[in-house]
Amino acid sequence: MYPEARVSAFINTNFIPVRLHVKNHADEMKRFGVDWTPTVLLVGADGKELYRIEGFLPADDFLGQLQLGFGHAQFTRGNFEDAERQFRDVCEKLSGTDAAAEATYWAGVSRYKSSNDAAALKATAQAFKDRYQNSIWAKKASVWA
Amino acid sequence: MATATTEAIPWTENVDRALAESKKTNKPVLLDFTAAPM
Repeated sequence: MYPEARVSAFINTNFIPVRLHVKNHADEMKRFGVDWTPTVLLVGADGKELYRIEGFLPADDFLGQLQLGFGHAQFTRGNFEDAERQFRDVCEKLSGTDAAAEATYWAGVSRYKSSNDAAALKATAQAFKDRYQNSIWAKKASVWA
Repeated sequence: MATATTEAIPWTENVDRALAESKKTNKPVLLDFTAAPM
């Protein structure tokens, strides 16, 4: 996945990249609670975990997960408009990935958090009537309909 | 036809230095735990 230009460009733009081999970094695996590879963690400057990706994924799916994680990092910091922008980008550009359903949900939540307007949640529930109807995210959003 | 050029990723193995850089840049740290040849 890293040979993919889109993936490496996204990592270089948005993250400080660290690569740790299981044979040489047992202490770091224990420190971050990693028991399996490949595992990718996004962590804040305080070392607190923000997002976890476990197992291999093809490039589009991996990029979708990275963007979801970056969106969650923005959300955690209270940057709800930036978070929504990131989630919407997944919905538009990676609509065929599993990340898109989750991004649809969190884009709606981010819009609600930035606007305090419950219409954002209702619109999200409505959007799930057209796409990703069988996803767990559609079920979670159904309460807003 | 245009071809996308892959950027090299400047990997480090020093977690604490990366966390210090994260504090300065406000970028999250990406930790890739792997068993693949490096």
